[in-house]
Amino acid sequence: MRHERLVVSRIVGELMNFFFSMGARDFQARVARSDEGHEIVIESDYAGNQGSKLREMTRLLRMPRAREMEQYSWSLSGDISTGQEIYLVGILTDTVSVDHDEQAGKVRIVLFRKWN
Amino acid sequence: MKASGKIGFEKALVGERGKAAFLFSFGIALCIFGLTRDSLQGILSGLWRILVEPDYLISDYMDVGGMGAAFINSGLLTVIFTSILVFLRVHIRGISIAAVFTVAGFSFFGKNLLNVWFIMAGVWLYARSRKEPFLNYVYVAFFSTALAPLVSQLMFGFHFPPYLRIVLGAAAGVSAGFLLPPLATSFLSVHHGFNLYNMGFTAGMVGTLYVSVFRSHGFITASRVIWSTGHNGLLWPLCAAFFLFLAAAGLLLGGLSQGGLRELWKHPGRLIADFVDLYDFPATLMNMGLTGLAATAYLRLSGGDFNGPTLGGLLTIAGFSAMGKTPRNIVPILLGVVLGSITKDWSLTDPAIQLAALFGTTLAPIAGEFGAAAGVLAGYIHSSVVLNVGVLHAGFNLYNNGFAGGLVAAILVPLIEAFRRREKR
Repeated sequence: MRHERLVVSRIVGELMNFFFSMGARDFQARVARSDEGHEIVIESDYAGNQGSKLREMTRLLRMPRAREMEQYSWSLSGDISTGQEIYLVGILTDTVSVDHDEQAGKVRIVLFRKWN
Repeated sequence: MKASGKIGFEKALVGERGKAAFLFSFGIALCIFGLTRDSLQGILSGLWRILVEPDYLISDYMDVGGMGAAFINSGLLTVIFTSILVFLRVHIRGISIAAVFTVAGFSFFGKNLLNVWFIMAGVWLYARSRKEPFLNYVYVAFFSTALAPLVSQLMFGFHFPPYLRIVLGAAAGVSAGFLLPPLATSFLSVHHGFNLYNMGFTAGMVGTLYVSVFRSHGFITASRVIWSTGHNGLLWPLCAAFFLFLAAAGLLLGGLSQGGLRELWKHPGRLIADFVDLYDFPATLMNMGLTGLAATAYLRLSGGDFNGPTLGGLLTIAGFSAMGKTPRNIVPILLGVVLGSITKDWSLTDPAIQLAALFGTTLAPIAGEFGAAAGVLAGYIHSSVVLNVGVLHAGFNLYNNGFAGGLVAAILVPLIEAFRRREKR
């Protein structure tokens, strides 16, 4: 895909948007490029009881990558946020791991997107 | 809580083969119904007339080639396009159903067994030029066939020598297909995914460009409306039965389990809302049936005609009920068009307005996201805009409502966002 860098930055933007909408005060993103692809690590806190939203986020992030839909959908990620766009992040990434520490009110997400 | 790994589709209530079989069965059912409507000779001569007819908006294939040929044309294209998905080993999702049903619907008034391939070839060439697999552009290719009338018009609508017509038609189709993929991505961000027929918006822009060039060279196509009537007695019960069947099948397959349909109806529907991925196939099937029934009821109660173009509208609504539309978000759009019929100087039974109502549901995500009042406003405005934009592309873009819907969403959504509420800090 031609817009690989843009896609990765949109993924980060989408998640930043999502966590800020849940009252995050400390959102950190780290992106590492390698010959295999991009690893995106997100660490964020949130405010209040967001259990159901985070469960739904996890479900959407776990959607399998859909290469055939990327051309049609990637430019919508990181756009107006209605809370449903996490699905786009899911179908744009190959692997995901979500670690939710409810006691501390923190979430750590590790995503990996292989090169096309 | 810790979760890792992607969800496998092996846990889905209906597997890949089941979903592909559904699409194939739909196409075959259209063919079988077509065979019952005419003799084989009548169907073949009707198909020929459909192939050689300049078929810009509005060209009802039920009038051009007869009901039998129109159904066969739609059924065969449905089977062929489903076969392409299966051949490419595409996972059947909501977007697959939306794409195939849209092709099926528009094969009643504009897409045929000849004109779609030149556009598809253009998209394929674009993929080759980018050194990417065609798989990455398969949905763009399916939806790009909106510009198929461009091919037919140049091949059969002008009085050039035959070889020149064929070359011009093929070149226009292939070049349009080649231009559409990069533009489709770009135009998505214009309406932020609130116009479900994004390719209609893109094709409208490209069609406008082509038609402007044609007009500058003196080629002008007169507008026309080929619109058959008198099929209501047969087609409205058929549509109602088909959508009822979809809803019942979805229910029997477990559409209500785990709150599937209830959760689905809460979704605003903004692109890309792939209901098959998000809520599984049975709930999606129920939604397709119930949304199709709502649209059928509207057309019946408003005194509309059941013919090629409106059947296309109903099938497109059903298809996009696998990717964005629900009864909850289409009804406000329909009400907006009804409201327009009270204050504006047209009737709900005017052909263009019947299509404006059905295809205007491209703006359903506005109702889903911003509420019913915003949806009514969108439908009201859309019913005016759509009557004024067709002239730009001379009806060569079959998704004229997608073009108009893109303009409406591009203006309306930022305004609603601006006045809605302050962002939470």
